[in-house]
Amino acid sequence: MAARNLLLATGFIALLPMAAGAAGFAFYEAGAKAVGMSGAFTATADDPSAIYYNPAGLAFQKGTMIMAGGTFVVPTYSFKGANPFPGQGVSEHGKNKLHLVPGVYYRHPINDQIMVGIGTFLPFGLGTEWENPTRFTGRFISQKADLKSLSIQPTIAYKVNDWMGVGFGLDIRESVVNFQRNRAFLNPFTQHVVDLAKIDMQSNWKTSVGFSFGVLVKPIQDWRVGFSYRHSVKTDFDGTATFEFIPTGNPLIDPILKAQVPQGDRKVATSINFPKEMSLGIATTMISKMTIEVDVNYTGWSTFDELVIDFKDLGQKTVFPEKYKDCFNFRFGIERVLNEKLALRGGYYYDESPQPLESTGPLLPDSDRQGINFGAGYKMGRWSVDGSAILTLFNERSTVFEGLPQNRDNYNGTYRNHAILASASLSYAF
Amino acid sequence: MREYFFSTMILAVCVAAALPMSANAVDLSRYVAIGDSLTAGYQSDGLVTTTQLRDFPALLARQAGISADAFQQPLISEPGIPPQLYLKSLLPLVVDRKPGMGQPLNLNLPRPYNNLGITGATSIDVLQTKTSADNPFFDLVLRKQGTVMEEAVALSPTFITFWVGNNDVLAAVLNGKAIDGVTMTPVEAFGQAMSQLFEILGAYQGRVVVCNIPSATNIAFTTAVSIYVTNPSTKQPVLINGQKVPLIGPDGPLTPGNYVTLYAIDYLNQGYGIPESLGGNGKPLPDEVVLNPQEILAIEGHINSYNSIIAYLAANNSIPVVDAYSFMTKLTTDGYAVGGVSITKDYLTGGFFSLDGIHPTDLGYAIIANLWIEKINGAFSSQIPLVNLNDYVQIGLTSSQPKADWRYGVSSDIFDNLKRLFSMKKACN
Repeated sequence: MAARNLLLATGFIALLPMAAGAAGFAFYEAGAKAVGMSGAFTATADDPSAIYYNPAGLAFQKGTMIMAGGTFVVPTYSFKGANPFPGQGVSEHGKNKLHLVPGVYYRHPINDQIMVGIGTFLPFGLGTEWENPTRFTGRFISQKADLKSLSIQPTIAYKVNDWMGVGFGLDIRESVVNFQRNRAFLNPFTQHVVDLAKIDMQSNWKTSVGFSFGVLVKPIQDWRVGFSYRHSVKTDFDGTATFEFIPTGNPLIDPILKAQVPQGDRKVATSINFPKEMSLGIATTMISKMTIEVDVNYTGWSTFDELVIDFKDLGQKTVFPEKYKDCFNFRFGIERVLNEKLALRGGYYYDESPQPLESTGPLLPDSDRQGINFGAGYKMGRWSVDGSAILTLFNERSTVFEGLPQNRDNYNGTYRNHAILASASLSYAF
Repeated sequence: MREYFFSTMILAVCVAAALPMSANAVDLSRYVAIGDSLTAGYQSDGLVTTTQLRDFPALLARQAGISADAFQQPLISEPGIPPQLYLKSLLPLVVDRKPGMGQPLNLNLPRPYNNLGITGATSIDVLQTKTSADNPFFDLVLRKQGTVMEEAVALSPTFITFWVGNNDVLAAVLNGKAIDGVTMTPVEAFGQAMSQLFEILGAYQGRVVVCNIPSATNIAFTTAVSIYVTNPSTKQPVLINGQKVPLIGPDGPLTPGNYVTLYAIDYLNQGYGIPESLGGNGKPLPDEVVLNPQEILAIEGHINSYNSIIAYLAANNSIPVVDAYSFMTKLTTDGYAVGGVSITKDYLTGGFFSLDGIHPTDLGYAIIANLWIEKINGAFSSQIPLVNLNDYVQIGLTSSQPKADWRYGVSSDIFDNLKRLFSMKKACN
């Protein structure tokens, strides 16, 4: 609760991105330097964002430092319909919105071996909102979905010896979720589907606690190997649902329909099982003034098996089978130090989507994706500035496979997404 | 010259590569639909042009790119034969029959119709019946030119859909009495008729698809009316001391496992089946509107046997089978999603069944057409596009409404006989 107030007070409750970072609704953009290397940072982990990427990285860092920044996300997503529903010729677009994701870190050495730190970042987030929500053909599935899961992570790192460090963080997660969609009614006079009500489900903020740990070793000179783990966090949300009746204009059925729409605020509950994440990275500085890192991430998405929306006092429960699968991401990053002040960075990543075609829909249209990153860092005495940009290209994804529609809601077609992300951070060494 | 030859060769190869290899591995140019009311496009207890143009064979032909001229049906004018039911009021529930009588519109087509679906026809009828004194649809469809199979063969079909057997058991459901040999075709007789039918179909291997028979317990006709006393305005069971009150059946209070048919509504409105303490007349519902567990067992046993016969004969002749039985079971348990909207078997508001509770709505027929298209595409590697269901549910902008540009001729004297037969209200399939 205190942590939440702190977040509110400091204005770091971010707007939420369409999951434009990593596959599913994970978000891997936590620091501008790491982003410049495409997130291949588990072994390098040499700035305070190590609190997210690998807590053990703090063990080899020196001095007190604060790092504050964020990532702007501009997602674009569109959909073209296929038969049998919503049909060829249907074209839908996501709302173009600018989202901001924070990444703020502070580290402070206790002695030569122990470093403590605290950071706030967004490991999971989702924001899909479709244009013309009252006419959107997927409005009975989702008009708007907004999920924020913000971590505040006090962290401690211990330098075991010159070649090995370990780190541990308590992952205090503040999460909130909002779903909006319409409820349908089949008009028995016309046999057409009509809108019965708009349902707005808003959860309360919920605190849940997980943990994170990491190991970083330097087995031989110029080589670093890092491993980090973030535990899964199950969050049970409580909240309020409101139903807004939408009249058909037909006096024969409107009174009957209105009687079916629940009045006032209704209790709603849902639960999201955020997956565990693991990363393994190897970095080398064998080439002079260069860091090259290769990472593999594993995300245990199979915990996101279903999404249950429980209208407790109405006795209505909806189960959406999500059936996500565990998946791997591959990341490659490179940094070239030009001089004492300037460094240039670049990278590439490939993300597997954990989402089966069955659940690829308006709530979250995911697909395999790849990203190209560029970045730079500039140092001026105690200050340093980092900036980077990512172009994320999603593979076009059709829910029709070998002529057969696959989507569980029978909402079929082709999704085409891409996103541009820009990260910046400012650091000060005390 | 030599260069010219090569460039021609290359061009030819390119053209060949660009042509879709098996865009249409099936040829529906002379497509014949064999079946009963479900093939004819019967809906809301009537047969009429508006629904005939959206029956599953018409949709299949349209999706395969066949012109309306090449797929002819025995079209009937408004309000249909018999006049269709319509929903007059939801609360109180009033379903009425449209006034007037439909007329056949192209009885003088100088060749058999492509849609040979005959409302009420059983397997034996399809094999051997040319005309019927009880059922006017034989004359309307066959025009005394032959049996269904004879007329089908006479068209030299390039493709056949065959959905027969529903009526071999439906009389038991409609009459609330399961009597082998009276309301149900005995399994042995069904097997014999089907064997002969499949002998004919076997000659069209690679060009024929058949369909099996849905359960009688998965239709609105048998499930719309609860076995408990229900408040007509809330549609919820009436509770006395927290307990539901069963309707009174011919053998006393109804227990789970009994099914009350849609025809019970008239009796319930008069107070039958409802205890006097709850405003009824305390008299039992007649046997003909109640299917008891033994009757259900007999009906379902027949359906299962029929489906085994269809599966066996189809497999022997390498004919693909559309599994309507499984589809309807799944519709009952899970519903059928259309853009997140669940289409169910529920009467009036489920979207699948028309007002007679047995025959589908336009949407229901379109979903059935897609079952056939998926089966055909899977079996023959064709690429017939699925029907766009948005044209029916109208959730978004509609694209391809079926065009009413089907040609038809004018009626002949057979019409007078039909009119006479339907001068009284008659529910038939």
